[in-house]
Amino acid sequence: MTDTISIEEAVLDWLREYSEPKPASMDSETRLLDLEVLDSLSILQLVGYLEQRFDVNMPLEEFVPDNFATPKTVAEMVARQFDPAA
Amino acid sequence: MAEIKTPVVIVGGGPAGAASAMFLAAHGIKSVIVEKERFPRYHIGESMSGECGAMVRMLGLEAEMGRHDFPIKRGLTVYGTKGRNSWFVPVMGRDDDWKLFPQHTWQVRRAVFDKIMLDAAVARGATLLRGEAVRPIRGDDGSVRGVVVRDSEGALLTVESELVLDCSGQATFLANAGVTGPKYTGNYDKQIAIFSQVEGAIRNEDGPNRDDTLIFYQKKYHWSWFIPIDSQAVSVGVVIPAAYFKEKKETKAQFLARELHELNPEMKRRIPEVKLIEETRSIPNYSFQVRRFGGKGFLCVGDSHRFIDPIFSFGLYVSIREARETANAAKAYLEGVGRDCANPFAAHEVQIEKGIDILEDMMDTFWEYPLAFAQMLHRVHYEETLDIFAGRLYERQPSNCVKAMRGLLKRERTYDSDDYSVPIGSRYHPERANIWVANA
Repeated sequence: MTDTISIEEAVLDWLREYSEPKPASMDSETRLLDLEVLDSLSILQLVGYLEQRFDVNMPLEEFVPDNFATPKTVAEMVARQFDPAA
Repeated sequence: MAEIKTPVVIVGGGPAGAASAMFLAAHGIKSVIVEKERFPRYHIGESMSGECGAMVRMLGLEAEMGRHDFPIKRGLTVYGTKGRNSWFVPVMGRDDDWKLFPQHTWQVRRAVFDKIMLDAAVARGATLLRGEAVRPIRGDDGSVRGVVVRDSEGALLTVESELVLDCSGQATFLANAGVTGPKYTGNYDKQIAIFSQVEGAIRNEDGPNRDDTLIFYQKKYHWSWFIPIDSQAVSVGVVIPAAYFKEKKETKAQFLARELHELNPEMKRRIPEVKLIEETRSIPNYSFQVRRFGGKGFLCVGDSHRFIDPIFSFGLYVSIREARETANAAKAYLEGVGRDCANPFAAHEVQIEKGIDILEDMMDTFWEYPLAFAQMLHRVHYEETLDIFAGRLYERQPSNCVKAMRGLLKRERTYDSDDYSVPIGSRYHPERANIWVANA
């Protein structure tokens, strides 16, 4: 069972590798959009990675800015796909 | 009053009117085009979609297009806020096996293009009557029997017809005369477009995409266009809430020059010095939808019954494509089909609205759900998004992409009762559309 913490770790690992610019440190509450760590193109790339990594399909309804506010909200979005009733 | 009799009178000699006349001529039907301006004359709406180019080829005008300095368009690049990111939409056609292939279309200086179209219509047998349609002529049964025209000398004459085609564009001749149903505000009613042309702008680097359309946006409902229209001039325009323009208290030219530098750094880079070579014009309240735009003796074509927003360059395409459908509907009408019906063009209207509704759904999705739009274009519905950009609105529609957009917008489109294509109204009144009022 994949928990939200390990999804968060996957998100942070991806950001540390691929995001441009990279803030000096990032954690689960880093404001990704405010700090422009993520933009619309990198959001698509991040989602593509997470879909493959966790074998989920992200529905279009989830592509709203609130879901990409922090690594925590991204992880919660992915976790929701394991339990659509959530 | 002097009198002319014709099967079809076309109010307006722009692309909708000229195309209507040409498609009618292909059916062996003669028409009289009433046009008040001497061509060439300035007009906005300069970029063609892929299927618009295909329409121009269908009209047999490709060789003529090649004889003029019209830039070739192979795609559209959209620059996001701060100019950092951009995404590209190629112009693609579909072959007989429905496979995508790279296509090109044109950017046009409308003064030149519209004259080509009108001259071609006349060459194919349409009569050009220089004058202004003043009012429709109504029969006792409410049907439209022609129009009264004031000619260039000021004299009035009647043009009697079996069918009036309203191709008057934003002037919405028949809607203003109360012949159609109500004219409602459209979803972009509170916007204003302010535009001109510049010289010395930096286009894309030399190569196949040099003269592509560029769109820059700063934020929701605040964007600009950059469209090369010949080897020297680039059409530029800014589209913003009218309230924003008013509060700046600048002239149109001052406003445009400042916004061209402030709206997006990539646009500023391409227009280092703003050299306006054309009057700066504006169109407020350009977004509207007219209900019941057909009936006994009349049918509206193109902008004269509906215009949504200029963002994805659909206007010229819609006008010319609709003209082709209109000519088919007109031929049936002149042969006597539907004469007993309250609205002989009911089926045609539904078809036309269905197509434009798809464009509306795409534009609304772009603004309301930009991340989901990006996902659809780049990942999950690439080909079907390209189909909409091109203008393939009738075959294999509504596609999964369109259904996905409607799902996001929580919008249902059904066409089996009279309230199909209900005008959505200004984004300030999402629950109903207001009646359109000039300069609101």
